[in-house]
Amino acid sequence: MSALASAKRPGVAPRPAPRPAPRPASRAAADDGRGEPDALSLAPRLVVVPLSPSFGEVWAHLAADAGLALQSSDTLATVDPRAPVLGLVAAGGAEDALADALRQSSGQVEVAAVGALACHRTAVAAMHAGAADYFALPEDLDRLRSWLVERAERLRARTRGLAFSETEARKYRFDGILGESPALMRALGLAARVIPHANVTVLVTGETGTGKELLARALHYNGPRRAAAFVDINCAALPEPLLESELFGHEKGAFTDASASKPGLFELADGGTLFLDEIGHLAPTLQAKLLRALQERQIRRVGGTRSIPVNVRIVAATHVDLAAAVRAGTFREDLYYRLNVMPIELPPLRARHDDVVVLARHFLAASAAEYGIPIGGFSLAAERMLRERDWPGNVRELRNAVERAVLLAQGTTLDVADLEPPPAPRGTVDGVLPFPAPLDEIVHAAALRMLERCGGNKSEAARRLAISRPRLLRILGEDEDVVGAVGERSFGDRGR
Amino acid sequence: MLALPHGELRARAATLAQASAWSELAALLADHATDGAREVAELVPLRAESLMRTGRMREARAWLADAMDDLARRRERSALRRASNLLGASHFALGELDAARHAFERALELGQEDEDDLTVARATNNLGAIANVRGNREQALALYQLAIPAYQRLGNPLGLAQAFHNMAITFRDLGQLARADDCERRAIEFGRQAESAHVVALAQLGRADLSLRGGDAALAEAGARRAGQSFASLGDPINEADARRLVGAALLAQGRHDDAHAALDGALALARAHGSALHEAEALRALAELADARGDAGGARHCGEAALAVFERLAAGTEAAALRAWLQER
Repeated sequence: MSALASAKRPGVAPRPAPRPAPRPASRAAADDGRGEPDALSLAPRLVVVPLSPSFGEVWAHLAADAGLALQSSDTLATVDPRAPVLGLVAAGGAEDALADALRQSSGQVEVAAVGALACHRTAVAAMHAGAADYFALPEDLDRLRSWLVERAERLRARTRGLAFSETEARKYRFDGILGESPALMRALGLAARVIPHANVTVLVTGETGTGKELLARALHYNGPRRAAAFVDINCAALPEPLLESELFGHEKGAFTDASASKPGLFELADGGTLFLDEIGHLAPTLQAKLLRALQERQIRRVGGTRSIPVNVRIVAATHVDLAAAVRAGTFREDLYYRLNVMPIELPPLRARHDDVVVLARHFLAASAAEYGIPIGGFSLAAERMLRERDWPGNVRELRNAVERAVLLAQGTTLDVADLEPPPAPRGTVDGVLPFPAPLDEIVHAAALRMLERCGGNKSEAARRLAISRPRLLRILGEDEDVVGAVGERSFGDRGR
Repeated sequence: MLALPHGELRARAATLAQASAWSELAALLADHATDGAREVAELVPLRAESLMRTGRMREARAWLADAMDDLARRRERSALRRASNLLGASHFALGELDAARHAFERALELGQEDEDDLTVARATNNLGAIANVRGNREQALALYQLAIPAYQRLGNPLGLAQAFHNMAITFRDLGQLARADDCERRAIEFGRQAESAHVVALAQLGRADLSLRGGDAALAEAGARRAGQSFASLGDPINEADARRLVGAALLAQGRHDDAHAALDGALALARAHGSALHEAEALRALAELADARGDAGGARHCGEAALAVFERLAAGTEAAALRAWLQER
């Protein structure tokens, strides 16, 4: 769960309810006016159109092997293409009628043609008429079986995928987002208004730990694109060339390591949502490419010549003041306006004092349940302290503090002492600092750790380390003007 | 009535695979290696898997290398995709990283061509693991990230949990502890969804490790103890040893030397009893640090040298070099 705090909570106060979400928008088939796909409610089937009685006894065995229910029909034209169905048009002596029967169902469901003739001309005609493949029995019985087994597994995977997106949708319901403060309600109200508009770009701003990713997920899973993928990428986590390949994909041979072609996240998110976190860290060359993708709704892989159309909603997020970055010349103005179509600002926790205890109680209940520790609540003094603290790391810091307190508490009520921050590290023992490490690495690690503990807030980290912000940036290997990725040095200790 | 060739063999093999009776399956398919297993495409990867699951990596690699051209010639794409991924896994297990990468890339290409999300996700994850082993952390992250949409489409929470756990390890190795912790949280969430207590425990241990690296030894101790209990109840002594080592390191960081000694001794005994040399070396290294913290120079040298010998035997160059330098300073 992310930092805004989401919970399935009975009795929570009403939220600005999103309008009823339209059906999934990504694929053409989803817009044909037949209502929600029934893939979840139906077992995968094999529908056979027999043009002759030949091989009739085989279909039941093949269907059983592939785990499919069997149905005989005169045509495939009436089958809902979104149902988990495979088709088989079986000639077996009536090859002349094969192409016509296939054309009737062309484009509806994935269909194989079966005949008795191992004849190239028959196979080509069948495939021109819409068959995915042609099998001549008895020679190709094994191939036909493999084809059915594989396709059946894909149907089941599709059904599982739909069920999974429903589960995710339940996790990220808007009425599970905790808090009552006016600032939060304003943000959620804006989000509710933008949800039904599947192509509108959203820019979520707010300090680190305020729950930008959770809001992005809620936008996706409550909206018309929820049946497709939610793909997120942290633009600060990867160096520029890798990020370019990650976003747009690459063709084989595009660069030294590109020994295979690879789709990028734009393609993988097709039909769904692409969440670009920490967009303020995007390098200028990538800003230009992203702008082009947003304007043209198509991308080109690195090293590729072909334009690939993409259908995604972009949700971008940043804790950086992008307008200031535009003024400073580090962020493109045209991209800023492309992204800033619907800005939503998430308030810091210090502006939501009334929400702190509600959130803390939720985290306490969740942690106590997760770890099986019987803790009933906070003392009055602890609740007062929770309200009075500034929480520079926002909801993430609050969640971590409560979880820690639950794990380490001795009693059944959390008191002020239980919520004290952890002590500073003691020394260079295994896992605490690099083993053994040169001084500059230890200094770097200490700076990095403080930055992590301050939720990425560099000014706060510098204050707690009692050094200037420019000095902190130098230790981290970052320039004053260009805010780079946090800690990209390896400490050289083991992987698990 | 038309009948599939080797119908009985297929049915028997499928039953054994479903029951994870890998030794029996390997024996059955070895008996039929020349008269059946090779002719039936679906049995080719199944035989390879049974060999790998019974620790016969070289045999698996040889079998696949021999059988895959035939699968390609017969256009048995499904079996070929699976065989390519297994060939990569056998190379990986044998430390042949270039060959493993080549095989996984072939699997990835086949998966993309055939729109087989599962193969794409598995091959991408495996390529990420190779990048991570080679120290190309960002590249590993990029690859793990690509596996995630595929697992989403498949509705595969276990795959998602594993991908997020892998990403957490990479973020941790990059020093990005908060991101690593977010990934471990997601791994736990999806691990629970998949009802995989094992992945949940691995991610919990990962979080404890992150707590220790973040300087919160008390929290690390509590988290590692809980993970250790989970591994004990799951009958996974190797990871239980790792959890105990982490408990020991956390106790050492808190200055509780006697308790740390007991935990590390327990970790060492478990690792030795179950033949995990890596965990043995790590426990010995932690014992060396403990002795050093107690001012016991002889004990530190003794444990450190024992750990060094094991690291060297495992060809764990980075760990060995770091430990050698540490010993030289003492």
